[in-house]
Amino acid sequence: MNILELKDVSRAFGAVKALQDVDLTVGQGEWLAIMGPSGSGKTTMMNIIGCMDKPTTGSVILDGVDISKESSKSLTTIRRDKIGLIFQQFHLVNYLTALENVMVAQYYHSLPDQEEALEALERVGLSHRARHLPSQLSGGEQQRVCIARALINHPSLILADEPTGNLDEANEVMVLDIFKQLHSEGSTLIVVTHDPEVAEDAQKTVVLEHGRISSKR
Amino acid sequence: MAGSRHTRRSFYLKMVLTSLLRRRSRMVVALLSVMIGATILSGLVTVYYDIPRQMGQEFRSYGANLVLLPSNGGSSINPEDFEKAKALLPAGETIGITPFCYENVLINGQPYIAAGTEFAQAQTTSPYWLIEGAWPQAPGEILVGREIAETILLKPGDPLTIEANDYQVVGIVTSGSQEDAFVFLSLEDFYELYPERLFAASPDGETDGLPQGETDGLSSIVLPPGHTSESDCASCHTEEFINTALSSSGTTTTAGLDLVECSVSVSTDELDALVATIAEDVPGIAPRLVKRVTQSEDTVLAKLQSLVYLVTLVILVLTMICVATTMMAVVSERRREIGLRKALGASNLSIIMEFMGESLVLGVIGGLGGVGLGFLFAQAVSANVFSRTIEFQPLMIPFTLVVSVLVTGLACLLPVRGTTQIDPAIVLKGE
Ligand SMILES: Nc1ncnc2c1ncn2[C@@H]1O[C@H](COP(=O)(O)OP(=O)(O)OP(=O)(O)O)[C@@H](O)[C@H]1O
Ligand SMILES: [Mg+2]
Repeated sequence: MNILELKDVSRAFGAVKALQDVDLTVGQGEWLAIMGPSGSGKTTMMNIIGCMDKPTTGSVILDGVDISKESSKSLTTIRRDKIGLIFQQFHLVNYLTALENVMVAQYYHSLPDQEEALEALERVGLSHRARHLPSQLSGGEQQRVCIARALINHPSLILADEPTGNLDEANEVMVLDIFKQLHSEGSTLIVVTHDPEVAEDAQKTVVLEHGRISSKR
Repeated sequence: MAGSRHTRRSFYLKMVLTSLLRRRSRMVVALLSVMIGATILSGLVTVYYDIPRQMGQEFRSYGANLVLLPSNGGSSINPEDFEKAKALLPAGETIGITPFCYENVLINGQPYIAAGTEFAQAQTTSPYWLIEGAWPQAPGEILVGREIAETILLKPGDPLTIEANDYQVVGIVTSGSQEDAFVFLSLEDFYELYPERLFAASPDGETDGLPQGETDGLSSIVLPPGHTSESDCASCHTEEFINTALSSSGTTTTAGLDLVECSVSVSTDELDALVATIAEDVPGIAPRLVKRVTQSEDTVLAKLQSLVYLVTLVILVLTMICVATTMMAVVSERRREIGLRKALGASNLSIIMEFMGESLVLGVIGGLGGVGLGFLFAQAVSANVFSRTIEFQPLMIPFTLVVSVLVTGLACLLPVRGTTQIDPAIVLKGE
């Protein structure tokens, strides 16, 4: 069963055609890597899949729902319920502790639950850092908090846009290990990366060039 | 369910409070402006409502604001009525009650007016009289008006003979009006000079003066029309009342008082009520407001109060501008965070609720601080300007709180509305 289906998706910013006629399917439990040079439209595609943007033309079916025609208000709800987001720049709330950052996602989704949030931090090996502020954490630790936050509401789809782009080798390995673990547990992952090594772990890789899919593996 | 609602609310509170605390330096500016605004608001409003009370005392240096005249029925006030009216004046608020009797008198062949009064009281109802020399203390000591003193070259300490009685001039009075042509004697000396004016009730109840019925007849003929009627003389001056009194006493020799000046430290409304009560309860007396005094009091009060009102308004607007600017900066500083919250599924409404929560906390803390500081401020203003203390009004707490919360909320409305425009896809992309 496909959890995600892109049909003829194009996205233009004025004259800039960031995505052109993209067709893509992602099955339940799949791990997809998206590669491509800078400016090829990777982030644009992730934003559309992540319900933060809408295609100019084409349709996007997420979990059986066409999200390409939804209002931004219902997109927010769909994003909240189905998507776990991981960013290259981590994006943590700087005045909240690691634990509270995880709980923010719970707060908007349903209810803040400290026990559950602690468990999520434990999964990424950070339970001992739960009460630290982002500024007191290393880059790798911050990214792991991000992952814990993305997982907390059991999303249908985990989206990571260059999750290891700002990390050193050791932290990259740690993050990839978590992804492997998630994949083995049945999570669906879409990871944007420049790094062929990262892409290797994925089952499927698509390469974008000038907004078009140039190759699939 | 109650427990889960509790966790949600407490997490919301935690976010709002930590956000405020983490942005201390910026929030202190906003908090200070709210607090200063609330301080001036509560301080000025306290003073505003206290001004009439505070100024009441000051105003009494204008002199009498209420005069008692004989009513239509008589050409003078009998002492019994005088005592009755006196009892109706609020003891604590009454600064002075000065009775006057007038007679025409010739001094050195010139016509002047002799006035009998109580000097101790006259000092309180006519505090603006300029006295060269001293106020009379002993029998035989008199005050002479500036005009008389200049015409017949008198100075304090000089003797003066009036109708074969010898007196000593102890002071020269300058009032700027007709008192300058008066000679003032104590009531006792006046009655000695004009024994027919002494109103003494004889044991069998008969009076010394003319039979009451005849007096009525006389006075109604003698008085110029309209003078003692309830006419609404918009610019009634004390001088006019004196003229009225003189026009009657000059031609009649009725025992009793011609005029009583009262200085009562109450508001115009209360004075009006007092006039009505006296007119009702003491038919022999026609009470009148001295409009020149009461009206200028009202004018000064109205001006002072509108000044306070204006200053308060300006301060509130300034507070709003300051809070709005701070919030504007805070929102733009937190664009990333707002975008992130939206990416995590926050609705526009929940973002607005978080910012309004912060503004509510600002408003409440600022307002509470403002109530306390405002009272100190009002106290300082009161002590320095009016030399009086002010009472704490508990009602100021909810009032200031509500206004400061409203003002902060209003000031945050526009900046917070801006958060709805933030697009997470855009703000989360940039480095
Ligand atoms: N909001 C926007 N307005 C205008 N043009 C945009 C916008 N977002 C993206 N673009 C353009 O669309 C194209 C694709 O951008 P996108 O961010 O998807 O690239 P990318 O593959 O993620 O690149 P990188 O590897 O550098 O992150 C670029 O040419 C970019 O300039
Ligand atoms: Mg990108």
